[in-house]
Amino acid sequence: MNGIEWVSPAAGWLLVLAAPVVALHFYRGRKRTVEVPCLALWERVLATEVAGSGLRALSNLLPLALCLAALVGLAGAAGAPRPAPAAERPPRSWAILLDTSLSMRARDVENGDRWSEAVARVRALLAALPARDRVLLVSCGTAVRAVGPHPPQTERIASFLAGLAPGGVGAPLERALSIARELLPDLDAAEIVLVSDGAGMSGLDAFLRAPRRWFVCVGSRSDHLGLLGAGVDRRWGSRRGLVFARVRNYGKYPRETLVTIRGGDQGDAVLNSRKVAFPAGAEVDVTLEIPPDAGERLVVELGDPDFFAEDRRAWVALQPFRRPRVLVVAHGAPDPFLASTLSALREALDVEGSGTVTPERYEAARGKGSPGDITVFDGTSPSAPPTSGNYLFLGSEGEHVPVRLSGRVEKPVVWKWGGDAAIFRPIAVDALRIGVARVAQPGAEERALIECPQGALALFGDREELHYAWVGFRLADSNFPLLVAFPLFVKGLFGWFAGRREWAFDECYAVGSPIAPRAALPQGVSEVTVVDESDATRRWRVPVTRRSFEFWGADRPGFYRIEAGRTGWRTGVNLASASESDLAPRRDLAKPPPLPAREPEPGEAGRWSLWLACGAAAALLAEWFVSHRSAG
Amino acid sequence: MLFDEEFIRSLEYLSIVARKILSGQERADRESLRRGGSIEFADHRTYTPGDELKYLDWNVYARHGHLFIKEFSAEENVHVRVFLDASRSMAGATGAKGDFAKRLAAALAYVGLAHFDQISFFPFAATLGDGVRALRGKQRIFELLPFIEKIPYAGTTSLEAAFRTPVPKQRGRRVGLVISDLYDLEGYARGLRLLLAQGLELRVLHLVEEGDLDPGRTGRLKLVDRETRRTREVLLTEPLAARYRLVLEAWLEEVESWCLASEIGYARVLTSLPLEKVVVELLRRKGVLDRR
Repeated sequence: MNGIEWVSPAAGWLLVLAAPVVALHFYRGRKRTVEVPCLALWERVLATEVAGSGLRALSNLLPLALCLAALVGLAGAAGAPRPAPAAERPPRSWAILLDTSLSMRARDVENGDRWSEAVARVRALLAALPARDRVLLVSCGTAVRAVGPHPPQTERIASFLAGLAPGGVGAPLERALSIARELLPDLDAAEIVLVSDGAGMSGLDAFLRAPRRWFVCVGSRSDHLGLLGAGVDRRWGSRRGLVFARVRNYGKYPRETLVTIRGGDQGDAVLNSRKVAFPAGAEVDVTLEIPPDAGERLVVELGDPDFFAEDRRAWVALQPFRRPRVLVVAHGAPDPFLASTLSALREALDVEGSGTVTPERYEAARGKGSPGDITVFDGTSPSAPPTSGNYLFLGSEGEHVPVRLSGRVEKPVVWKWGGDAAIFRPIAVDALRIGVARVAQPGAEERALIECPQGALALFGDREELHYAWVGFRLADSNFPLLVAFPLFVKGLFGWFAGRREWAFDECYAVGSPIAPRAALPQGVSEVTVVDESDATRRWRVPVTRRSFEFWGADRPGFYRIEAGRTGWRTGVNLASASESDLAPRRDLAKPPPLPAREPEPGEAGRWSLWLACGAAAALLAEWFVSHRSAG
Repeated sequence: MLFDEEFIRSLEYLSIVARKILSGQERADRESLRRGGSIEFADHRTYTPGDELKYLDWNVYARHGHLFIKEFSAEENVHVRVFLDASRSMAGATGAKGDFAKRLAAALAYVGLAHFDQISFFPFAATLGDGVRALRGKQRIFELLPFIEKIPYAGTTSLEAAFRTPVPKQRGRRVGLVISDLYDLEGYARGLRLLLAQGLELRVLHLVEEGDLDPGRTGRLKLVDRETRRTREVLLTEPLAARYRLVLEAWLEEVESWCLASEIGYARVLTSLPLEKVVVELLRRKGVLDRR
């Protein structure tokens, strides 16, 4: 407080009455002569009286002190005191950085969450600042926004603050400071107040080392169990699937909780659940199987809800089940044995169907997107080296075939075959007869399936996302299609292709990371619409550039639906951030700013006067009591 | 004028009680237990040689054969000596106490004079003052009143020194009325004993003024003794004043107890009471006066 100011300073003249009060006190306390009929009787009484002490002399002054106190109180009440406004301080600039990351949704604050407390603290600071100060308010989250500098009590700052909501991962302090510096050139001389929980905020210590940096810390708890992410794997050939969830215990004590997967048509049926123990500070991967009718939306939940709901659930979009499509690239009709095998074994191979295209049409179709899940080059070769996908090369010799060809052999002698390979395990090809074949030398990422002394007659390879098998002869130039080994080889190969789909966390997106299509969008789509399925009012229209887009608005966990023309898909967005899930507030660094003296409220002077008057009355009452007791 | 007529009339119906003294030489308007030559028969007693034969009751002798002497009650006078304390303390705070004492003394003297008692009046303080002696008859009150009015209140109280001076002895019953505040704490008993030794039947009228009970104010006081002018400073608080009242009450009780133990009639008289009430009611109740 800057002191007291008096509304009616003339009331100080009342203190002049202190002089008559003092005079009256001493007049009343003067020594008076009283005649008594017999002093001896008094001396009998006084003989038992303890001699007067200094304490008694002091007690004589007590009524005077009380009277003077009452007089001062009355004069003060008449003077109508009130706290002096902080008019002397020169105007200051304030930069308030408000953490809007998702951890601010933690409900470990009395009657609300960290966000509500942070907003209340900001409002209190704004209310306490004098109107001549200037305030720049910066939201410090995935998106850094700012308003100001304005006077602290302006509507623009209030509405900006009301429009903020926590979301996203991370609070980029440096970025917020750089933006603040752009808007407030004298930032170095300004008071910078960070209102945050400090969780997962890097550079906080260095920030606070500078002068005029303040940190208002919100939040209190850190014992938390959070889902870091989740994914799903459903392979071709199996309608069942596996859901993976990674859970981290941020607390100091081991915990055990139920992990549940919900899904089904309505999305709320319990598909599976299991109680899992989580050691303190450990990260645990949990795998749960899901049934064939799992639905399209899976939600992984942790039991025992705690104060932070944002990472107690993980959202996983399960793509609709479909069989792989087989595309045969051949000049004219495909090999009849191949065609009949694909047709006859459709159910056994668990494929949707097959089609045949010429190499030219294949190239055209590939330019528009992925034409098939498995591509069979029947005596043909790709015009460009394939980088991803599943391929079967039958008698392909082109330069873009991903094998190292070494020569041509007539009537090769099959002397070895890959019986230990998963693809070839039940197959014996000792009866295989071949007219002319190309021979290849298997590379480091390839394994031979059929071998002759000159090299490999068939092999399979696996290079990151490229999976392929190569057969060095045409079917029509061998008896391979006539052997039972051929359909077994095809089925084994297709099963191997299906098994190549590995589960990974990037099946789902993380909060704050951009959502982008995994494949090129159809031509003609100029924009997509992204919808937050938990809040239909949250819709974004995202422009499409080069058949792709990037959407940065996924700031809350949940399902987001992307609508691109006639097509559309759903994806899950999870917090997936260990730093944001680690909710331990940095209270050790808390350094709240010294609030300036607030402006006196109207009527405050009246309240102070009332209190002073009451004090004066109490002093008078005490004086009466003391005087009555001591002097009658 | 000390009294109005009605009060004087009421005084004429009173007499000073003399319980054991009945030997006045002169005949007075008082019934004596001494059997004498009055016409009012009182009692019989057995004849002893030397008795006058004219008082023999021959009728009794004729009936019973025993000699009895008829006795007749005789009305005797009493010597009443009024001792008025004329020390400075008797003036009181406002003088009212002194006036009251004088009026009371005058009233008692008038009661005696009205009944042909022989009244002597002595003021005293540190010594016994010159008094008025042996007045008889209510007309003598006019001599006495100016004397009483002129008595000044001065000096210190010393009952022992005052009553060491012997008063003139007179034959007959003698009653002493001491009107005083007795503020001679150490010497009042010795002084009263001296009067007892002179054969007086004593009545002490102990005057107490309201102001004696309550000093009336508290705070820093300089107490001045009215008689000796000795001073003492005191911070008088309410508890101290209460303690003083207790000490004063105890002393009053002590005086009364001592008087009763010494067969001295005692009456504590508050000077704030109306004199008529004191004389007509209080002193009668205390046995100092009686209705004729």
